[in-house]
Amino acid sequence: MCGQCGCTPEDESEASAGPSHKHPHVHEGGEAHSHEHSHGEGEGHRHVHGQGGHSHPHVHGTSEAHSHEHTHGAGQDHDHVHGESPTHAARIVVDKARAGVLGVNSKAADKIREAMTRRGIVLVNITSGPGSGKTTLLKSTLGALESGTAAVLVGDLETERDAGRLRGLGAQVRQINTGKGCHLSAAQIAQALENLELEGLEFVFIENVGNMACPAEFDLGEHVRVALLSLPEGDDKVAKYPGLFAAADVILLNKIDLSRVLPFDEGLVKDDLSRINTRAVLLRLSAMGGQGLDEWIQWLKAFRAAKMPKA
Amino acid sequence: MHELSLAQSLVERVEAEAAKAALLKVTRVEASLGSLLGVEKDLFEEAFAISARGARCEGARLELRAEGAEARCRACGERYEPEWQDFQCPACGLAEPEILKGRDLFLYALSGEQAN
Repeated sequence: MCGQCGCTPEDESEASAGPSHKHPHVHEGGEAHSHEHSHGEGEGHRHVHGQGGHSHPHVHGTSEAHSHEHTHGAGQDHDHVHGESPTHAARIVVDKARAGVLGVNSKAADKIREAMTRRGIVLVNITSGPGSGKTTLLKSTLGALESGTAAVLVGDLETERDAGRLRGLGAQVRQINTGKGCHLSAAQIAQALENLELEGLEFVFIENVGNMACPAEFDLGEHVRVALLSLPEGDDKVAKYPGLFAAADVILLNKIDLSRVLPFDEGLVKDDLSRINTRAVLLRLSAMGGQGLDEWIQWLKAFRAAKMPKA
Repeated sequence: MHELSLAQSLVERVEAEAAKAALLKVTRVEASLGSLLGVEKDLFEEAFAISARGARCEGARLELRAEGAEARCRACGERYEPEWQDFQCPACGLAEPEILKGRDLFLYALSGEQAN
């Protein structure tokens, strides 16, 4: 006997053998039929049949309660598997080739990289924590490059302040407000690039959101990933945020003019980098004071000359 | 913060797949996390629950598998398993890996209520 509604299955052994069973019952008007259906252990339901139409209010194991309203004539049997009407339970398997969640971003990034390479434009993604000097580095870099050859895409939470600091230096500046987003995505870059006049450009710099964790995982289609580390942040950042430094092609040690007053062990940074990234170029500079800036500019120009077929 | 950005990416993807498959409600999400993402599983689950608010997958059970890392040394070609804070090649000692596996988040399957 069904423990929930008290009806007796046509075949008791069938009912006890598994979750699938039948309930015979008589409707008003004398139509008798049974329903075959499946439900998990402990899931009950109740039938209240009326002539012609009837409903089944019942509670399933996952606490979805619902009812079916349907009509059937005398003596007609039907089968149904329960799910929330008008739905049924389903499991969707994602095609393996598309399963990578970040892969979507990577594909968009590859498209950007190809498009920029065709135009001979080097895309540079500058990542770092907040306050390590990204905007100052860009001001100095724009000042050192020939006017009109560089543009900047500035990713920032809410404010326009960084973009404002970069205007008036002979470069196109576009702000990308990420709202509450903690990183930029390739799709945002693709859109921002559409709003740039690309003719005559040699470099497009992306000032990523100040954040040492999230931007590391998102390829923006750049040719060069820069990780900026300034002395006041401390010499333990490479070990603490290996993702950011592992993904970098260039590591810029900024604010080196503070080395006289700050205890910062460059040896520790190099030691950590020996385990995290031995490929990256390490340059020391002061974006504000100007020390080491020439080497950075020379590195950029040499990279473009070597890697851009159109340059 | 890191967990939240990745969880948001997963939720966006789940929503897109759910919409495509006409799932009105998602009750279970099967995914894997690459070990090089450096994500804390507990934090990620919490971040997923927060990111899923108001979405079809709100309240869905998240089943996470760990995915190991694999790298090929750009210098000597050795294949090895890098760790979160150690990318050094065991053969030549350089840390210049091309990461083959372990840096992505995979969505394998989603279950829920599909429109008839």
